[in-house]
Amino acid sequence: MKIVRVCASVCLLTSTLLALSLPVVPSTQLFFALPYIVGLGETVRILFFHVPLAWTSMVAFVFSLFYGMRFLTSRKMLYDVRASIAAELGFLFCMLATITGSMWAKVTWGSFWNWDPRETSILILLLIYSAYFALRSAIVDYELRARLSSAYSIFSGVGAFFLIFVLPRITSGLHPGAHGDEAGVVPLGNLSLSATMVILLILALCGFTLLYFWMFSLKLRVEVIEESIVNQKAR
Amino acid sequence: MLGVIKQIAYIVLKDVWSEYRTKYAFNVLLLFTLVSVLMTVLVMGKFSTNKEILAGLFWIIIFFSSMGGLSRSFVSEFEKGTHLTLRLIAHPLSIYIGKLCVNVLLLFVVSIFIILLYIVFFPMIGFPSLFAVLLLLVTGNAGIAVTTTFLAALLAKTEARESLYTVLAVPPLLPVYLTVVQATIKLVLGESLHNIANELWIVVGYIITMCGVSILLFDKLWND
Repeated sequence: MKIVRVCASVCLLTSTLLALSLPVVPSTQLFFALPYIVGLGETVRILFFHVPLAWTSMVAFVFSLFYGMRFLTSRKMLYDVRASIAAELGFLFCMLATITGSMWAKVTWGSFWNWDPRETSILILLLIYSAYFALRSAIVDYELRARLSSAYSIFSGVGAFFLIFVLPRITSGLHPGAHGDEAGVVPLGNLSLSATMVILLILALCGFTLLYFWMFSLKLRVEVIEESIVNQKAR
Repeated sequence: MLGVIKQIAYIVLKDVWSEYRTKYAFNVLLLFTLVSVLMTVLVMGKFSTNKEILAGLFWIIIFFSSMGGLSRSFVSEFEKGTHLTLRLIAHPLSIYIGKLCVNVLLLFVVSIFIILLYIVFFPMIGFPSLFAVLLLLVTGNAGIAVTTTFLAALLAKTEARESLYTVLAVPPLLPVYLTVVQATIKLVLGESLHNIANELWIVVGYIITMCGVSILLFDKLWND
């Protein structure tokens, strides 16, 4: 895990420093610069935090879904613990993506919330996982809690697929890739990313993803230690 | 396969007959819809002429009606202790599909009742095609029932099921709601079936996907 921690730190530090320090210029030909995008201006820098945060939350939710499936097939409680940790971290990253997105929306679209299809879908995703945590907290029995919450996370996760990938494509919205956008369905379609931006974005995506794995392993170790302490006390 | 269809038919008949004898869920649902529509008329007054708001309210009333009655579909089996017999005589697939059919039927009757109330209280709403309305009602109600039936099975063994049911049902139901409300608004504004085809296909896709997931997961919930 030490290597993951070091790689995450290097990626995040480099991408953050570059994203904040590189000049925003009208030409897309310069390598050590960010291109000027009409309507976005200097605010384009938040792209390197907002998009990776949203991506990492998706990675975490997919892992939560995967561990939920593994629990239902194997009935090993460790998978339920993993599913719950992945959902908690996914929720955290999703909240941060929503906050950074709202800040960006205020500057570019004029208000913090615009009911754009992607904004609606991220809000519903937060609702799904709030409901997941509510369900977990309402059941005392470990086995029943694990079984029901895994089933709910799989069921609503599949429903979320429609929200994230289908609805934003058929309804018009402000985000790139919405229905009617000439650039098509590519999420960052019309942003005309330069090579610098692509490298930075990839670096930030890797950094946040590795950060997730590091946080996940830390939380898992804490949960396992807590569990063993509880078991020792019970004896 | 024939055995499964027979079991589904028996479960539907059993639930309809049991409902006919007690009339508990059915009466509560109809009264709830009546009260909701009356509240809309009385509270909104002159604003209740807005067709878009009424289209949204239509599905909100259906949602809360389904919350009141549908959770009983599996809960009553556990409360009466009949779930063990059901488990012995029927395949989980038949039980899920049977309960789903009953819930679709119940919601369909409720939505027809709301339409009748809308015709009486909001005469300015005109539907261009009866076939389009029926198609939208069937797909919309099936979309809602797929989710609520699965959640009813999921929560049947928990203690705080009443409060959890609404909280858990809203997020996975929103794709259906956003789509059917959009389609209903188009219909009440005078557009034809052709113009709501996209929305209907999305709901059909949702029904097929969620039904598949529910069938796979129901086995894990029912047999433990």
